[in-house]
Amino acid sequence: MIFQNINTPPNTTYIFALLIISSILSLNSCSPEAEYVPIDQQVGALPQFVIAPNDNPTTAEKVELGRKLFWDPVLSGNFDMACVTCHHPNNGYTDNIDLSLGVGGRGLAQNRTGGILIKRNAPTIINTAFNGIDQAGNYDPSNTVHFWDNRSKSLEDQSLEPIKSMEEMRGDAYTADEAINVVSARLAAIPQYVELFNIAFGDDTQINGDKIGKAIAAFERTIIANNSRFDQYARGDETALNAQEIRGLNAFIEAKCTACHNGPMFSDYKLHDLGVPNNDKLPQIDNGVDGKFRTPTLRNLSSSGPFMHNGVFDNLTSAVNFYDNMEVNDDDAAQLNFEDEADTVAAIVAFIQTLNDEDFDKTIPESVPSGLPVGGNISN
Amino acid sequence: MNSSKLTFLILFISQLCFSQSNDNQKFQLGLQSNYFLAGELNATYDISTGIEAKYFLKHTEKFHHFINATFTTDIGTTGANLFVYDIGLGSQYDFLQLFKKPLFFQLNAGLLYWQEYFSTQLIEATISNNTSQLGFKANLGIGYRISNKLNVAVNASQFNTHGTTIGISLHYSF
Repeated sequence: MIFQNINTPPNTTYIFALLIISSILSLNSCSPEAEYVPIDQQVGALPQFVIAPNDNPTTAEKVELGRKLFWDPVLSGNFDMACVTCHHPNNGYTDNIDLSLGVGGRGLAQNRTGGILIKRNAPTIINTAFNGIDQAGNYDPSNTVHFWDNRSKSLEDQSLEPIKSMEEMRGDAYTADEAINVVSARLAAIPQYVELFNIAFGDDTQINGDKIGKAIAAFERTIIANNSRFDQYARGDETALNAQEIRGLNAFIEAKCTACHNGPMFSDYKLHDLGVPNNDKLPQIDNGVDGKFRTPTLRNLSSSGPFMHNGVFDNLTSAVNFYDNMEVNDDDAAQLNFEDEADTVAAIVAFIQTLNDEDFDKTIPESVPSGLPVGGNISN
Repeated sequence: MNSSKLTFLILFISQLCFSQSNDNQKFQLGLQSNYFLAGELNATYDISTGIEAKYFLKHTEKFHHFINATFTTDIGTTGANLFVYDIGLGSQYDFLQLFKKPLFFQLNAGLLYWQEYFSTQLIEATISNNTSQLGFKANLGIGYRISNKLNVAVNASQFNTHGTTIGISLHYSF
């Protein structure tokens, strides 16, 4: 009973109670206002389909040829390294070690020993087909960026660079300038490759660097993982993320991680100087491009650690912690400051793990046309 | 102090002005203000406020057993809102007289129903979502009866396994 009776003043206790209840209830609504995010810093789902360059449409034949090349150590100077040696599907198309071990090494991933120390962490191949994508889903696959220093403009160009690299595949068997011609000649001497190139590019095709690059790039464009739980959430499945993961997403946005990690790939594909600590294994400090390295994608990090260009952080939590109050040497990068550090970092890590999608092509061929060990010297 | 905290303080003080005495003191109605210290919720929420109603089963004993019900919501959060409803049992123990008024411990625990509403701006759209679950809440406090009608207390609360808070409360007895 709100009033004691109609002729007496209302009991002030009831008024007090009503005021308290009404004011508390009115503090919040069931429709909170979202944190404002500028368009160029928004994040979202990956497209369902990949764009190929006009001069290299993806065909099944080209993809199959590219897969063979990707796994075949015939592309390396000493027949010991294939692309897959450092980018193995069982390890998320990377090698799960801080700095890759190249020519002369033996074994796979953490079990790999010996070999020339490569100065940068092997990035994953997964979703590199989307490199350069913007918030509108636009990207030009023939004019984008690859590698930690953005030095390559397409997957077609990028796929040839390790073949020319002394540390990664070439060794000292020939010079960098000779590498593509030597490898092309090797392939032309293997009948199965001749047939595969003819099927992929037309009869009597000449095997050369252009076609090797196009075939490998076509294969890499099939290594896609675009249906993570975050993608499902962004496409409208509200049950795809749990409360902690949504808290992490909101914390990720509120902390301004999206200043650099934005778009469907969670990368602005720009170079930034964050002052990442040096990896003590390296005899010289890797200065990138004037101290800058490209913003890496945050997709499929479950299988692509250690993290940063030199793999200096072993796990995701330490990598995220690095950003809290870091000394930013770059005007474009945001100065992050996590409130309630440990809980915020835990939430952000929980969110980043929703960007994992294990449903990508993990096919391992039983043999390669050269007859060499599949994947190079990856058995200890 | 940000605007939401200031609003809460003004609200708190203004509501105290309405407090008046009543002879029957089996009931308490109170306000709480909590600060999130740790847990998942701490990543999103800083401060919460709530109202609590208590009914004392053994009001005249040194041990005061009570039934309580609380509504709690966050303050000043962008992109999320938290609503917690809980009901429980507790005890208050007057362990010391200070200036002829009791200093007391209180301990209560019970079930909570918790709802969170989220809103996030993504490329595709602003995604709104809500989740709810059942859990437990436990509260430990130390308080002082500053007058026959008013108690103040400092509390530590545990919201399920997801949040730990410290806070203050002020209860009006009637």
